Amino acid sequence: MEALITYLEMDGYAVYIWPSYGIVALVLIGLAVWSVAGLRATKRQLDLLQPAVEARRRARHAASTGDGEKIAEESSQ
Amino acid sequence: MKPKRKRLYLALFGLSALAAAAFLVVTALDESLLYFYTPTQLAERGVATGVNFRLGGIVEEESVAQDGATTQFVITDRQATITVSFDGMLPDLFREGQGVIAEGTLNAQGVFAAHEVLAKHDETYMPKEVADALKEQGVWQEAAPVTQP
Amino acid sequence: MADLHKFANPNRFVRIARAVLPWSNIVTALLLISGLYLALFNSPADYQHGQSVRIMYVHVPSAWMSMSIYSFLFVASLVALIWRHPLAHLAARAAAPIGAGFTLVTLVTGSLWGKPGWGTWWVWDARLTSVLVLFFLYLGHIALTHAHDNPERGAKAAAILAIVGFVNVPIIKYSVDWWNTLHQGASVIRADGPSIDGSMLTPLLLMSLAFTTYFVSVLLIRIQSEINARKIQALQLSQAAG
Repeated sequence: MEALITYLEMDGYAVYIWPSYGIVALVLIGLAVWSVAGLRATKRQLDLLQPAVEARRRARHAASTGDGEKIAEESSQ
Repeated sequence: MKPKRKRLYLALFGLSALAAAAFLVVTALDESLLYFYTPTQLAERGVATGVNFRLGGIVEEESVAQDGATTQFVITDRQATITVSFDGMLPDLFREGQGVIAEGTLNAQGVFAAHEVLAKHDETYMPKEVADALKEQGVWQEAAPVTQP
Repeated sequence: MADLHKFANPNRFVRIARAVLPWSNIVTALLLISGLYLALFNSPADYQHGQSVRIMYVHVPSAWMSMSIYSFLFVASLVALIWRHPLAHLAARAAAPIGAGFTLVTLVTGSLWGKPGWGTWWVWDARLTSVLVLFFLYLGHIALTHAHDNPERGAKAAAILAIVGFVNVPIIKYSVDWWNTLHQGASVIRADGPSIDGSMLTPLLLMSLAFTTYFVSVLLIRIQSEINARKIQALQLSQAAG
């Protein structure tokens, strides 16, 4: 315990060293979490939009050709 | 000319114009971009007493003297020297043989009266044992002279 | 440029990004663990700075990242403007916030190191001022890519800013040589070899590599989001039209 406290004190530089590593952790973790959340959000929105648009396109296609043939779909993510 | 090629030449032209402009600005600003003057630069230029400016160099070995709250020391760039007096808190890295920047004015006696002293350390990093070993072997290099612009 | 255009297909890019991402994540984690272990527990105190030298292990790599990401932004912007590569604008847009983050870390950790070392949090010398300018360039880039109603024009304006602002990068690098500054000169990349002991150079390089692979990971994630955002935009347009 004593040794831990001595270590954490960093010969009196604790007030400079630990906030430095703190801001690094804050910014790097924050950027990563924000970016992953952004990707998930766009994926969700895409999954909602894509079937709707596809269905409409299919319906239009079926109406114009008169049969329900399948359309080659582009893989999309 | 293909548009792609045209855009490339346009960009190259723009970049060279930009580089030229930046060069001119930086050259014009050269003086004011100096954060401090060395004793030699000061001797060449000469500064009137009472004008506030920054002075940088190495704290000369065995020149530091404490008189109450006032510290006196000599700043050198190994060519010229100036005596500095300061009555305030010195930074942790203030040491003889190390870089220092003092802000203040020259008084009538030619002494630089500083109201702020900052430590300018060099770019050498090593454990204490290595520094001691180097000193013992006599291959220790004292703080590098302050860079001349 | 033929090689570059192989990656022009966003779907192909996403496939590559997904294959690379797990590896860059693992490598980042390993580098961070070993780098932090050396930086915080298994490296000596400096003969001058004492324990405060440990700030160097995050300050210097962040500063390198802030400049190399700006160089990435510069190249991506050139490719976008000259060759109209479809992914270049997206890559620039994805990279800018990461660069801004590293620049912020550089400024804050530098200030926290300056106080015990120099005796001041901040001075307006050429090095510190030019890094602050870099931070504002990043913020300007982010603002421009988001400000325009027309994303194409916003991206173009941001690309021009990134290219013009690139003059600042050599100024940052050489400011300590060209002018008298409070900031010290280069320790690692210098003609006569690093002026830093091996026991301190190792954690410094490990942290730099960790930050680099971190950048790759987050960049790949962000570019995928940008691609998705474009697709959403296109789908919404076709929905509105249909």
